Amino acid sequence: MGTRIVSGIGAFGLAAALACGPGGEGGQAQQALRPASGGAGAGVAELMAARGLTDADVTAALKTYVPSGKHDDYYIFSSGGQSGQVVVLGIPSMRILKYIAVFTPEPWQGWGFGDRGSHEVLANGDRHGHEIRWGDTHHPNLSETNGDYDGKYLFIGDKANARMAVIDLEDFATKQIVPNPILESDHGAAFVTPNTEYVIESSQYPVPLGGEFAPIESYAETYRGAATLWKFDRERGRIDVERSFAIELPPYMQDLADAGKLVSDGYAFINSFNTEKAFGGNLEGRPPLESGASQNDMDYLHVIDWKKAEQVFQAGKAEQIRGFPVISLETAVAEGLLHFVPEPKSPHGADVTPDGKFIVVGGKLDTHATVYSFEKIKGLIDAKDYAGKDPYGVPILDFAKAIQGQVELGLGPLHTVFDDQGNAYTSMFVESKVAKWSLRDLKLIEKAPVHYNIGHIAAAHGDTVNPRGKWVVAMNKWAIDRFLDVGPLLPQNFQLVDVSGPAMQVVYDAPIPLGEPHYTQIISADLIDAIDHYDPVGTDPLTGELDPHATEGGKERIERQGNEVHVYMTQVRSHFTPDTIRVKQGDTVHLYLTNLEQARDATHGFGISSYNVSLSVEPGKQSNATFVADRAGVFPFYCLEFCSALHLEMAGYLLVEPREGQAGGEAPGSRAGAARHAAR
Amino acid sequence: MSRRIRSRLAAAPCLLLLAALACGGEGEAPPAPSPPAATAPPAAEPAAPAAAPAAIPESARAEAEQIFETRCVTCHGPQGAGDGPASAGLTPPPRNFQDPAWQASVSDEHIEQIVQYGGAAVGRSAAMPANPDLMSKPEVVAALRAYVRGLAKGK
Repeated sequence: MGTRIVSGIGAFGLAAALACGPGGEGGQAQQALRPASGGAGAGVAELMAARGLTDADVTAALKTYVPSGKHDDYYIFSSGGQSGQVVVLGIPSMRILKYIAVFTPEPWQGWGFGDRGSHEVLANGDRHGHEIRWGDTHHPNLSETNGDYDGKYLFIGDKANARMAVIDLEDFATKQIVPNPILESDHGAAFVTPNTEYVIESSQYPVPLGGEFAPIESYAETYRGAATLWKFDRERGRIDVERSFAIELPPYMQDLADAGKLVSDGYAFINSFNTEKAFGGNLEGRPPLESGASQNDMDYLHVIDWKKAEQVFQAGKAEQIRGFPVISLETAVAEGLLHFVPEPKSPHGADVTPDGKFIVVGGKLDTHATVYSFEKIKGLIDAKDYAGKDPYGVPILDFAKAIQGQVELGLGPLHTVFDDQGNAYTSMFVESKVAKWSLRDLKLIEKAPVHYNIGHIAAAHGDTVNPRGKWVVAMNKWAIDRFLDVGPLLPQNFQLVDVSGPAMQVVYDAPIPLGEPHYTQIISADLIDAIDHYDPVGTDPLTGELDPHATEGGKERIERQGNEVHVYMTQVRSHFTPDTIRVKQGDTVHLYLTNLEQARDATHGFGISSYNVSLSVEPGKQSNATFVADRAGVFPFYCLEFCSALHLEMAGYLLVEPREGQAGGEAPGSRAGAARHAAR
Repeated sequence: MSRRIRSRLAAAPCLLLLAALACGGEGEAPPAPSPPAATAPPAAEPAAPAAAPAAIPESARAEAEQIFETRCVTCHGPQGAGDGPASAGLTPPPRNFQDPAWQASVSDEHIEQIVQYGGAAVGRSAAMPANPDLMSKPEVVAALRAYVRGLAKGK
């Protein structure tokens, strides 16, 4: 008893001392010493003391806490790196809300595990006859209207396999994947023009665009980059390949891109980082790429007039490479579509200011944010005022004449976003800091440490005509000591930074256990109008319309047509109808599953043992799967979602009778246990 | 205080389990509806007092109607006749709310309990799921109860 009294007094004393820290007031001390009452919020001082929290810690917690049942103010859409998916989080809580399946199979979402629609989308993204089932998502980009996010679509590129995907934000599901026919990798992908006329995919590692072999020693002569302009058909919510085209570029390893807006609308700006045209060969007497590509002091910011390029394409001046229209480098130069302006070396951000007047570039091996004036650039182009030409004949604008100014920021500036107060925020990779600076004065205002090696940075609507203030997210590549040990492979660290006060404050560390969640965009939650069920019951999510195989309640049935068995099945808490499926070995089974429920969150799953089928059937959704029942036996299926108290009872059997004269097991010549999906 | 909270939390699963066991023990379809007194359920939480119809806010009525359309129609049908799209597969079949005899045989409390806690909690079919998000929305529950009452034929 005596000991407890002493401890209690100590705790109060400590809490009082903390409360009276620098800037504290006497009133706070009195409040802290007040005996705990029975209401909510009681014992804040005791909690602070017990957990070793400072006032700043508590302030950070109050800024980010979102009570149960309340919703965040913003969505973050993040690339999921080599997961091949997109991650959705909320701000200010930084809660992970969803992984959207895109380039890689995802069993919980039934993506690529039997659902025919998903197989169709994935198969459309295959390349050169190879089935590609991984991807490296890098740059999600939201669809825009008049230069601001409209919350309708999200585009995401696959850096590893040069593909572009369309995600519909009505149901947060992928609707289309298109492979790039002339590239093998991309990086500035995706970037959208102000009214989503085009989704731009710029290349990363050059290859011969025709896909043929060429010796790497002929790199300068035969390897090329390209900017692909995918036409987006907003009516259909799809990329229209027939109205898309590309512009050939020199093999300078293009990188990040941004589309101009307002006064700079019609132009796209693309970084490059290898004007040295290095290609490695460290056992062949040549330096590795990392030093080969860092020799020159400057690389080239590509300035592309995409509106004029569109006209050139529509005039039939593109040539066909692998069946895809490409405006050749020669034509691009002749038509004045392409100009270069020197930019600090090894850049990884070309960011157009909210008013469209300036382009900010950071060079990872430089110390400045360099601010280019679009007006000056346009003036030089119109006047044909060139400082020279590159080896491919592309006109080079004079650096000093093109810039508005430079801001000394420190080590490793990379990417820049903007707020609604005329401020810019640049990620400083080498210093592990966020640098805040004024666009008006071109002066550094403040730097805040982040942890560690920040790559990209995001602000709410921070690359649009209408940025919001308050929040910035630092996408840190190394976590080092921020989290509990989980073996050698650590999560990356998204830090939420409050930029609304006189000093920036890191208020939350969100571990992202994926590599590498490269880039994000942040959009106001009120712009997203997502459904919570499909209507009418039996909707095909790919078309948004009633599926021809949708099954009405009371009309469930099994129909045999030769050796094809069609199962019209419904799901409702907590049973499948039918729950017994009888087929013969060798039959092709077509499952048509309709979730009859339309209650929010009333999702049912469907998994069959040993046939590699896993489906997700959200309320009102139709999911169809086809496979060959090549192995005789008894195969349970069950609902994968714990949908009710009787979830375990939501199950049935697929009964595969052996062929005449056989006892069961494998059919002659079939692969053991292998499922064959007709949709492939 | 903390002891009482813990105790209540511990009790709730037991109550639900007992209800489920009781339902399972019947081994057949539940009997025909009987007088309200005989079916009074053990409430897991105190039920909110039934509000007079005039006291139900319009916003709660609108939400209740939307809930009926997206959750209840699937089994009970758009007019509550027990003929929803999922009804054919259900044993026992869903309640026909239009039946005046059934309407007269159940209390408002019963309807409000089954809406929140599902069939098993009140001695009925476990196939009717709970609606846990409505447990903290007594006005919406009252509005749903009123909506169901309003489906009676010849009322």
